[in-house]
Amino acid sequence: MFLIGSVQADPIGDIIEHTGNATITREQGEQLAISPQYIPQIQLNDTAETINGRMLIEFLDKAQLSLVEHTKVFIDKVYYDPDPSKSAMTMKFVLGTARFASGRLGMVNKNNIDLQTPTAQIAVRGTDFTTTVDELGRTLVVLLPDQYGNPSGVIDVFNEAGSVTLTEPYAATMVSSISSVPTQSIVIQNLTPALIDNMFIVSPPQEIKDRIQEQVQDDINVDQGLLDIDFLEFNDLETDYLAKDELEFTELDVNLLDADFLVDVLDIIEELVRTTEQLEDEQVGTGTVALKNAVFGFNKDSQYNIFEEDGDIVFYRNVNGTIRLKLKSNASVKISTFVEGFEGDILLNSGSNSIIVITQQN
Amino acid sequence: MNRILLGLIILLPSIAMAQASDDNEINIDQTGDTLSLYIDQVGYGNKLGLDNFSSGSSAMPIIGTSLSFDIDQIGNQNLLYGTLTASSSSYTLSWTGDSNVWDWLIGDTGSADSSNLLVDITGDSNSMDFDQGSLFSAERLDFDLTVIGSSNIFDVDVEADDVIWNFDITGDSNNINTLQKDGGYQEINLILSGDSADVDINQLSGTCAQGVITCKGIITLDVTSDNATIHINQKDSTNDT
Repeated sequence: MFLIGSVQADPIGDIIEHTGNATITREQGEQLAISPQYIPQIQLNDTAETINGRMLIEFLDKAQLSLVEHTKVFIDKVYYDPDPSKSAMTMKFVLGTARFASGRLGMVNKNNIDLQTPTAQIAVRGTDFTTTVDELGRTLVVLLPDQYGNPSGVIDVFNEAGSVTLTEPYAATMVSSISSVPTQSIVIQNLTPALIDNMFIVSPPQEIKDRIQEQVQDDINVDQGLLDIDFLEFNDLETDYLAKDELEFTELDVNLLDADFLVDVLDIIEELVRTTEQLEDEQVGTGTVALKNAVFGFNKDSQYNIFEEDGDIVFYRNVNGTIRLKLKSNASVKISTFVEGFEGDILLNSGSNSIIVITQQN
Repeated sequence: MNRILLGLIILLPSIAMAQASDDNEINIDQTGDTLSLYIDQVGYGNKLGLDNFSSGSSAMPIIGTSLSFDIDQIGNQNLLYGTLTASSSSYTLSWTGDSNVWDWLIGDTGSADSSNLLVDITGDSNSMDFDQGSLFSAERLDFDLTVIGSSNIFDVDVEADDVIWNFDITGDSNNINTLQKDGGYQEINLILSGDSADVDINQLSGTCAQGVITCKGIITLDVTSDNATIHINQKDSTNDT
């Protein structure tokens, strides 16, 4: 019998692809930045983490784990034994989106593969799937097809509240907390593996949102007997507190994953054309504050998050460096931005007074 | 009136201090560690630093580690010139007056790591030219600058890893030109209140050193100004062309 992983320095896998910034953190806390000149091997108890980068890890049994941007996976326990029933693989998906394809060499009995998220456990049977975990631990699991479009296997997603089995290609379930039942399996239409990334955190597929809503409604509709009596009935909820206000977007609404870190050249060209056209677009304003060529909230073209803070207007951009401008709401400022994927002017009010020029290059 | 106080002189292998009679000059030549230097200059036209305060001067030859500077110049047209080499050192500097000139280069003959600068300037038409790490490597700089006054000129070039600047500028027509250069973490936080400011911020993050995971640049501006012109150049490279 041989036991790979029992000695800390023994590698259990390799990083076979990577782009951008990513790290491997050893059990002792040593952080290793991955670069073309330095690609560490994977060891037991490593934590793989991407920043604005991606990586693909291949384990000794050819199991593959790929991480998109801002993803973190703890490789807890990987043992390979000549007897697959004695081999084991345990990983914890901490944050972000990762894709796992079990090894084709059959070195690990599938029953011994234990994959965990903060709110769910995943049992696999010859499977290729993705999992997306947000900051609150909420988990979205999607079963992927094999090369012929058939189900790559079967997934059981479970926690202390219940379980669901995914059997069809692109079948998905979402788990909101460790004590809430996974949503029923729902097949997401018009999906490809390439479309699965951290945007799922920001905007889950409509089918999932519908299923969550149905589940919430089911919970509400459960007959609770005496508890159905509303002793606190009042009409204040008739007031629409969620009426749209452009300035309701705050720094708490800034989603760092909105940033597009991997810009395709063709996308850049298209974006530049679109941006140029946008220079004529509408002036948006609330009260005495007016913006031209931008809107409050996240601006997909310029990648600015624009929001109000203490009566001032904040322009926040976090792509290849962070820029945060805080300007008086009555200031008249032209912000000229020259960055990869966007060139244009944003006007705060008339933009005729002060000038801010931002140039960002790799 | 000039008041000069040098502290912990007993720890210094050598200190040469000369005070010219015509323009109140203090020249310092010092080698050794754990210097604590306290200087208060009050008056007009005081000078601290170079031996003859000209471009051909041999500078303020201070070399050591764990140095501590506490320098106050109160009055107009005071000068603080010098080049020095110091690691793990702290600087508390204060100017109160107009038309003062500060021209310092830290890290002239060796590395200047772990520096902590706390600078307060109150007055108009002051000029500050501060360089660190351009000739030798430097890491970890914490630089806090507070200015109350108008028509001041600041030229700050720092080539160091792990840099945090906090600038708080109040006054009109101030001219600020900064360069953060070298790999690693770079952060500048500027609060600007005053009209007609001219601000240039250049931040070159470079390439992450092995083992560094937060290699990034952060620029935060809080601006209250009319007729300001602000240029921000943020580049993921050490090349500033």
